[in-house]
Amino acid sequence: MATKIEAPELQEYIQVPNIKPEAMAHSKPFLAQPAHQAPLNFPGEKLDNWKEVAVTKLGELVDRSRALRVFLDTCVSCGACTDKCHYYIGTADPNNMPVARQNLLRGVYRRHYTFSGKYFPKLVGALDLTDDLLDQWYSYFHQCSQCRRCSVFCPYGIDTAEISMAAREVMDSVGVGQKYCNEILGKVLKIGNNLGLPEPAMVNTLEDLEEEVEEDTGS
Amino acid sequence: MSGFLTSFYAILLYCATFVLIAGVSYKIFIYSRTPAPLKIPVSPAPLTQSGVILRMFREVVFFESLFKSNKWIWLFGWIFHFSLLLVLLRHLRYFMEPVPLWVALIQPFGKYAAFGMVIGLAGLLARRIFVDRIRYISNPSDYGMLLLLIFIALSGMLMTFISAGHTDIIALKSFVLGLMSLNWQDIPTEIGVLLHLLLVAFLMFIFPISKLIHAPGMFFSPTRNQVDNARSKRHISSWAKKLED
Repeated sequence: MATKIEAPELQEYIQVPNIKPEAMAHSKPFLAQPAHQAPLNFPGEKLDNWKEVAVTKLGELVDRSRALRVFLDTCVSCGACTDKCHYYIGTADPNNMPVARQNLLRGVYRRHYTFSGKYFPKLVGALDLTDDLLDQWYSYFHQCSQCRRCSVFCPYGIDTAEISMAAREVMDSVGVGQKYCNEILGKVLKIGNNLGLPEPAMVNTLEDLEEEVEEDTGS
Repeated sequence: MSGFLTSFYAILLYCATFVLIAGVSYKIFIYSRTPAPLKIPVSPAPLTQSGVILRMFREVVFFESLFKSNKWIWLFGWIFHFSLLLVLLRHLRYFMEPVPLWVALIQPFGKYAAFGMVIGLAGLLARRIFVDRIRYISNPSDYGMLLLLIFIALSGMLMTFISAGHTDIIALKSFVLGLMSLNWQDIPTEIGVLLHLLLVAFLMFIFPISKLIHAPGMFFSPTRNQVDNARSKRHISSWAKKLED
């Protein structure tokens, strides 16, 4: 059954829609199976102590990436990026606004790694990591194509791609991987190419190609 | 009463200054120590270091990216920040004796820039309240920060522009100079100046632990401060190098 498309028609000047909360909350990619996670040394299924692992992992990522640390700290939520993401313009889901997408992760960072978030979580919008929030992460951090358009417009150059990559890495480390990426990466590791073609098939394909090129070019 | 107020404000301002300087230095230390594993400058990216300096200059002075992004936020934000600069420069006269000529010359501009601050802040606050997207992303602290700055500006204007609110500015200057030379003088006790200093001290306390850290933070943004020369010059972070060796 075809999905009804509600995205606004593209005009000469982009019409920015009003927010429709939860509009895309249902949309998420297939979960990676244990067999897809194993070759990459990710846990096969969501860990029992996933919260601690996730928070620790987030801290490690922040410690080794200046981009991530600076981007999580410096956002002033001015709103300049809010109408710049094509996923927001197409869906009107407020969590597809770059800053709101980032805030899903930034809230957890604030809760565990900043003074204001530890002692005044409500005031600064710090978030506790819950199963529900992890579901939102899985949905919205995979609705970012990491095109970095938002970073062009941010006065501090905050790049949502850095933040959604970090969130995906945290999710991988607690066993909530995404099938399409992890299955393919497993194939690259095990077989040597992303399609999972075994060597004889690859050789055969290339030989066919050689023949066809010779037929066309005569040499 | 005056003695108590003087001691209270002296200690408060010493603490606030310490927290501001130590906190911001610590943040800058952390930012500079954290490795940047990848070259991620955003196009159109400069190919040379001087190009990066020029880009940063345009960002810091003119808010170039914000101008491309949203004219209203740019207008209010830029008016606020530029006015704040003038106001801060004007305030140097309370820290210097004798007052240098350029500070004296800036005085009338710095005085009326207070209106610019309030207009800019009010515009930003109105956007937070009336634009549904920005309302969605606003936390209580975002409103609080704008209100705090508005009250700082208003309490300052109360002293400058309303005769009933005037404070003994000579006494204030000797209080400030006394603080700097560790020889405390009595603080003037008008409500305007006490409120103004209290709010400013609070702002200094929260500066390093809030989003106000964007001021030093933006200089460390890899998408803005990197040279786009990943092909001609190998870029590798300390932890990535260890994995390689």
